[in-house]
Amino acid sequence: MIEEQFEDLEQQQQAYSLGMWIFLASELMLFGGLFLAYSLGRFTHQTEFAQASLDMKRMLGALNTAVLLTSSTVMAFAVDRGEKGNWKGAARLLLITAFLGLVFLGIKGYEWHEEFLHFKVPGPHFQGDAGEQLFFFFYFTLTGLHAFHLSLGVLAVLTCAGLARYRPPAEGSPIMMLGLYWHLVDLLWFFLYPLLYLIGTRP
Amino acid sequence: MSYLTGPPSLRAWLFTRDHKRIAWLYLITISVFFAIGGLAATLMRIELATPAGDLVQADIYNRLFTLHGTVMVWLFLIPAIPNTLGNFLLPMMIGARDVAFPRLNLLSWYVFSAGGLLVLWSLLAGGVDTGWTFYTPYSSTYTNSHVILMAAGIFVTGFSSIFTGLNFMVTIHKMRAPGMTWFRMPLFCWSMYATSLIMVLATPVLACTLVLIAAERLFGVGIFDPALGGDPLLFQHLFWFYSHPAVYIMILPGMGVISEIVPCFAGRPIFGYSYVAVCSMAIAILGFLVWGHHMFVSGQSIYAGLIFSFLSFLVSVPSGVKVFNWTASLYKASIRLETPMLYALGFVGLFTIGGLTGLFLATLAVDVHLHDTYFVVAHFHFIMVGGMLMAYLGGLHFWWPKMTGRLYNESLGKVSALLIFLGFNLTFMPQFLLGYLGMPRRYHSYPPEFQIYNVLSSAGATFLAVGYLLPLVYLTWSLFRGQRAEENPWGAHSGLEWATASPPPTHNFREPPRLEGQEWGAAPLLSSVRL
Repeated sequence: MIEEQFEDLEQQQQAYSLGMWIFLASELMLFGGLFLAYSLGRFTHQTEFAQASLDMKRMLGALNTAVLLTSSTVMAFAVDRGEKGNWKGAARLLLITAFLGLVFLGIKGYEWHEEFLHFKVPGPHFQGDAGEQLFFFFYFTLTGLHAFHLSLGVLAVLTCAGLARYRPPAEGSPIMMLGLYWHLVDLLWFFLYPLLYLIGTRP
Repeated sequence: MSYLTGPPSLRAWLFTRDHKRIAWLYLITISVFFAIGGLAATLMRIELATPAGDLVQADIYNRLFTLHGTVMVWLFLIPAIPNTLGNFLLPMMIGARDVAFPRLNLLSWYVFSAGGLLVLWSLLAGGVDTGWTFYTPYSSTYTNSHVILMAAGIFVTGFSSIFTGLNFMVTIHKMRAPGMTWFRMPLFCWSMYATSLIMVLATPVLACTLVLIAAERLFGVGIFDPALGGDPLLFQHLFWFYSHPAVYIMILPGMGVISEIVPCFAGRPIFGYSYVAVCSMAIAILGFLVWGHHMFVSGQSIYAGLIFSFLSFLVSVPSGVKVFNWTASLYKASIRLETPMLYALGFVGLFTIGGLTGLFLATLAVDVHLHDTYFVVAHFHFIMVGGMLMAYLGGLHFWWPKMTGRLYNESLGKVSALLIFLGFNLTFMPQFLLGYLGMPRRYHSYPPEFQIYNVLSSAGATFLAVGYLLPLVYLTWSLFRGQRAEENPWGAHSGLEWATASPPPTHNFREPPRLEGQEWGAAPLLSSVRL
């Protein structure tokens, strides 16, 4: 369906795709500010950050990295099916993508729960020194913001999958745009994982 | 049938997707915020008429200047031209039916209003006393005013900026009419593009900075407070990384308006079109690299200071090029001094003074003397009020016949333009002297030897107030009783908006425009339009 402000389908698709790229650039600046603050914190509290990072569950983080990487692969196939006009196939793959996103969120939620039980949430009950608390603050902010983006992604993917089943869109661009977003959220995690989980060395 | 005579119900206006109606929603909203910010300024100027603190005490005064700064910067200046004139004109100027994402456009107004209401709530709850800059650790640890509420309001309005910027960029890239090449676009569109770039890339950094402040207040984590192991300079870096480019969000649209008004009333194409266009982009890009000049005396390294000083001088070059281009366009032209042109000429003069005093402040050694004095206040009011607000009013008067299909009272328009120009100079010129003599900003009382300058300044502010109220009266009157305007009442020649009816039909043009013939510089744009 062509919206009334556009001349033709191609213009509409190009506009949506460019809009998504600009949005992603804006997202990078949002995370960029937090990465800068994290870098300064790590620079001024090197030992505390390394120490606090040892409390992370590395294996669960690695597992989550694998889950998210797989979901991105499936998403790439879904985009491909969508472009070829295979809506049933695309919808099936989108459901798998969303499922893997939910698995990631489940594992992440379990980790948060564990950290909550061990008094690692910043605030009056935090157990550790100021530098460690700063590390955990960045940990919760960055992973929280990431999980928020992923949740929005899961909702959008499920909506798109449902729509594709019952009312196939006339063009492949919604899935393509979802793919762009999903890959960015995925990519952000590949920076978060080493920065938060892997900076400490065990004695 | 015009966009104004469509469905008239409130519901039709509140759920409209027409960029021209959304421009009106914004126009009304920001006028309300301008009145609130202006009221705070009025109270401050009354207080400063005498050296002693008699009308308000320090804590109320702190809340007043915070309110004035926050409301004027985020709820008036940032959306002023892009969301009103920009929304109204941009699609028409490039020959499109609407912006690329009309629903997102409407959403941006709702988001903006919600953020504005949060800011007003923080005001009713008792206000904030940190200044619009929210410097840490005062804002994050020590103040007991409503920082989180106000920060939340600004955080939310930020999204409306991002939505608008994204929308405009896509619109300019993808919605231009056949034959409308980049270097045929009116210069206003170039300034909108440059502004949008900053909105999209700088605003998210402010968002995460505000989140960090709220977090430090809520959890007591040491991000910015040195007592907790944080770094206050980090806050200033993050804040000015947004807030200096934000100055260009405020002034670039004003430059775009002037670049439309000057050629119209000089009766010829602008001098050096492509230089003005490219300079808008240069200002937007260089503007990202100068934030450190706010921190010369904050403990930043002297080498960083040197580089930021150099880059700040560099960003003045494209601004200077524009001033020369506007002036050269006037050379030996037959100039018509109608209301919009009076505002435009006022802009050129005041912006030049504001820009040159900016160079004083960008000079490392001079800044040590002038930092945090009234010199800084005068400098940025010359840019923001003398520059941006003059351009906004000039643009509003210039496109008013197009927006409403009515003409306003020209002599009242000229009176208010002159009143604002004189009142402005009387208000802010003495503040340069005050600052040079050493009066610091943000104090409600001062030594008696500064009184004469403060009295002059307060007197000027009353002229300004009258000058701002007059247009409200005669523009509103013209809405109902004004003479009907024709398609192109000023004989303008640089934009497609003059080639359609006043007020325009819902889809802007009866038929999509096509442009033929030469590049912009060779012939005025309108002569090449085929409707």
